[in-house]
Amino acid sequence: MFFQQLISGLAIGSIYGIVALGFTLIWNAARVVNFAQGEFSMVGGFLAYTFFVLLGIPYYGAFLFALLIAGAIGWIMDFLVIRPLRSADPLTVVITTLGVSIILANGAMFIWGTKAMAFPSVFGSNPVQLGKVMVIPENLWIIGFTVCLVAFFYVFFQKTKAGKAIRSVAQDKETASLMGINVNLMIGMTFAVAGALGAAAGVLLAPLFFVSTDIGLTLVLKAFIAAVLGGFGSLQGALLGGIILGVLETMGAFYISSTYKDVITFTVLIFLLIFSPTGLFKKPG
Amino acid sequence: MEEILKIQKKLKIWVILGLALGIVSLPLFTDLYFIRVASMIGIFVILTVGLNILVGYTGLVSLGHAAFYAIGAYGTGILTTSWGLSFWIALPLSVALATLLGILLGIPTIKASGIYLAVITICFGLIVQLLILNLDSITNGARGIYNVPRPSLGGQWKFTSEVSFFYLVVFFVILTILSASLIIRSRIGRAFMAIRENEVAAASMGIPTTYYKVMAFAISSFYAGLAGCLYAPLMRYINPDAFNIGVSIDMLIMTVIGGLASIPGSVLGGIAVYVLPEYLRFMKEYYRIVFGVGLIVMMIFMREGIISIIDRAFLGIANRLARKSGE
Repeated sequence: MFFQQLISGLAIGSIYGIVALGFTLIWNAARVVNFAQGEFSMVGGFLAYTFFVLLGIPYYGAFLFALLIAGAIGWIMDFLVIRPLRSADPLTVVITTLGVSIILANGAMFIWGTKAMAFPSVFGSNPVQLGKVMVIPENLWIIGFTVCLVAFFYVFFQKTKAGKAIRSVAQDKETASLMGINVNLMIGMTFAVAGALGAAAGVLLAPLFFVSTDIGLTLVLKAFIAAVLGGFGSLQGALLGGIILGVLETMGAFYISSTYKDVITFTVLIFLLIFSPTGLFKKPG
Repeated sequence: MEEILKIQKKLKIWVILGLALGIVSLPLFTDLYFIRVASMIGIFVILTVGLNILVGYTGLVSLGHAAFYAIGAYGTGILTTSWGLSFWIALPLSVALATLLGILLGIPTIKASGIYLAVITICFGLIVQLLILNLDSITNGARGIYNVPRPSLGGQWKFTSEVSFFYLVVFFVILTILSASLIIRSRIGRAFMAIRENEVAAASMGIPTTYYKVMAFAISSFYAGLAGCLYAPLMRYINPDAFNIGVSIDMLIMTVIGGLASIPGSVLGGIAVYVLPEYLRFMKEYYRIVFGVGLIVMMIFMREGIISIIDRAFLGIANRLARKSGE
């Protein structure tokens, strides 16, 4: 039973981690706390639902389309709204991203309605025997996908020119632009990547919960908490923070109390932030 | 220039007097529904003025302020229904509890700031909402509290009708605006602004920054609690949904679009966010989308908030008047 809970926690934690990763990428590149990050997931879930369930496009195709469209929304968001506010104070930018979040959530409500929709489980939601442990295939797919995603991002950021350019913009915009890097393009790309990441989390989440228009805010809060937990600004930290949060929540609900699981999580978090404000791990370098 | 400023000041006093007269005589020419809306606007004005002391004047962000609003409302709701206490005893008790919790939330500012403080306030708001939802025996959980009585004073004065309750709200709004203005103009207000501008410099000038940061939290949660105390008897029914994170976010939006560090701005912000939906009802589901677009447009083109337009308009009119009298 413990292992089954652990795997559920890892799966939901991976999803939080992916959202937190997008959130942190945007923070690093543009110093923007993006409250619309959770809405990318919401939109991603609905897009996948439309392509997969309504239009009958194969799962992987629907997944890919959802990522591409959400990525485009991310890029448009930066181009139209965030770019004019490059030098604005943080609170102005926060309110702006809240505005984007309101538009996306209500736009989705307008397109898809307010009813939550069930997304069929693609990989199966019944536990199967794996050695001595019972696991749910859907959860394994989520964890597997996250591992691949992390490997992909590692290669992208360490080895490719675009990845290095994005990292250099995050480190120092002026020097980066002196080196001939198009800073605005890189920030736009970061928003696109973050949008796609958000959508990926939304598609993964869809079979676990219903697809509904109000998950955005919950997810972005979880992501925000995960990112801070792992040490704000650290990509590895965001992912780990998400996983820790997911495991903590699942275990808390199972072993302590499902009514008070969130109260416990948030209380632990407040104390963590007070006594270790830079997160659980020291930032590398 | 001095002439213009003098005229501007006079102009402002006239406008404020006119507005005050308009508000007091409002029940003469509107229906009861709008009077209820006007009371709600008053409550939002109290919330926004209170939050502005924290966000606008002291430079600390809170995304959990609905918690204090909830404590005020639930305190009054519980004490006046199941405890059968008078509103006038319930009000100071629930406001005191809100203020105490405000002090508690202010304490982490010793170590945390910026993003970390924002997350702490979010968590705090969520904890309070979850506790209200789950402490069923005290708060009646998701069903909420019914039949919160409207207050009366000494048997003579009853605030049971919409109109009389509206005047009670107006009384508290005026009290809020006056007290907040006094605080801002005092030594305390100057300390707040010094902390906002540069905390290290403020500390080196001998300002006990932690003390004042906690105080800013206490003052703004005092006002939020007060707003809650009025909300419960106005609606006569409260449930946990009315105090979720969305309300905290709306409060922050009102404060920013009205104008940071401006009390008239907060009044305008409170009015704008609550009046607009009433007049844009015909848009139905489009409304929130339009609201979001408007918010972004404002942030890009008018960062100082609504108050900056009004200030400019005043200056323009005063200029013209001065030129006319000079001719």
